[in-house]
Order: sequence, then C-alpha cells, then structure tokens
Amino acid sequence: MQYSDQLLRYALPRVNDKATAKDLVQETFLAAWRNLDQFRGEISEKNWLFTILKNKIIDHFRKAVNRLTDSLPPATGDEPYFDENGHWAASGSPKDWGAQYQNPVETREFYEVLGRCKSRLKNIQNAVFTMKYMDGLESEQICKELNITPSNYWVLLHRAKLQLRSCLEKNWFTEE
Amino acid sequence: MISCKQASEYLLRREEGKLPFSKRIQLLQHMAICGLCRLFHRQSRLVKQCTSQACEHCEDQLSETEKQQLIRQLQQQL
Repeated sequence: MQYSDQLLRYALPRVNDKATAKDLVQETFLAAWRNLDQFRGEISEKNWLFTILKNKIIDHFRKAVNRLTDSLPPATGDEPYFDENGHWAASGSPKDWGAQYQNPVETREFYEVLGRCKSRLKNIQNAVFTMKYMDGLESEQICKELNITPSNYWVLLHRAKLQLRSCLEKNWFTEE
Repeated sequence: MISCKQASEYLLRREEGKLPFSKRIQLLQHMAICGLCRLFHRQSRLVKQCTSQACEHCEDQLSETEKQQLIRQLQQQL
C-alpha cells in the first residue's frame, strides 16, 4: 500500500479521471496479489507494481479504441481550426501568448488546467497523445499496442494536439 | 504552397522523422512565410514539454479511507 499514491500519480495524468485512476490502482494491487507466485524478486516490488499498472493503462486505452472501425468518425466540427482552403480560421487560429509563453509554467494551477483540457480529449485521442508525449512511445509501437492504422494514428494525434493547444490558449494563456 | 492545415500535419510527422524530403522542403517554405504556423509550432512545443512534466506535478493521493477500502477488498480476495 505504500506505493498506492505513487501509482495514482502515475495513472491520473494519463487517464484524466480520478475514479478511473483509482480503479486501475486497485486492479493493479489485486493482480499483484493474485500473481504473487510469479514475482520472483528479480525486479523491485515497486517496478513490478508499475509494470502491472502500465499494462492496465494500455488495456484501458485499448478498450477506448476497440470501438473504432477502419475509418475514424469525422472531427466533431465544434472547433473549426481551418477554413475550407486549409488556412487557419479566425476562431481557431493561434493567438499571441505574450509574456506567459516565455516563463516556464511551474504552477499547480496550470497543471490543473492542463489536466482539465486533457480530460476533454476524446478517449482515443487521449490514448494516442498520452502514449506518445507522456510515455515517449514511437508511432509503430502505439499503432501495435492499440491496433490502429498509421493513418488513424496521425489523424488522432493531430486532432489531439490542435484541441489541447486551443483549450490551453483559451483557459490559461489568454485569460484576462 | 501547402496550406496551414497541411503544415500542421507535416510538423507532426517531421517530429518523428517521418516526413519525406520533398515535403520537408514544402514545410520549410510554408513556415518561412506563415507567422501563424510558426506560432502554432512554438506553442505546440510548449504543450508537449508541459505534458511530459505533468506527472511530476500531480499531487493527488488516496485518502486513508480509500486505502483501508482497498486493503479490505484485497483481503476479500484471499
């Protein structure tokens, strides 16, 4: 139980939902307990628990992706970033973040806003975005783990990035 | 000349070294003249950086009650 908080802090920024993160931590302990005979002490307890958790998180992401067929649903169009010519649309184009951009963002409040913005991503977008930018996985690995095509991968990542940037801009960088 | 939408897609692929040479040139040409895309690129980099650091700033924890609940559930599995 001594690692429960560390496990939670690993899961939560990835799955964006505390209830889900708690469930994953719980499942991790249950799996560890049930498979105690497989733990041979070759790695530390902590690493073993984290290995189980990482796999649980990937399973969680896979479930979100399982509902995808070959083609992705169209972008919801509630945030038109580009016009019909592919230029930045007035509503969606990047704004100047001014001095804020220059300062490193170290505040807790910022990370809360980032967490909320990330939680607004569709589950499949969040899965791809998290695996790439938090776990540092390459596209081939992500496609393999989630069983998606490379073309799906690029579309999902692209949408995730656009949405996250835009959300942060509205809720942090250009707030009065 | 590629569009801003294409440029934003190319930027992603370039990050992973998966943009063919000819498209890299097209991207450079676009970025040279498009201030908005340059802005987008800088901002994207910041977002990526912050995302990778998000875990270090997570301060959540399980309450004592939640921990006790978890222990009870584990014990029920025995």
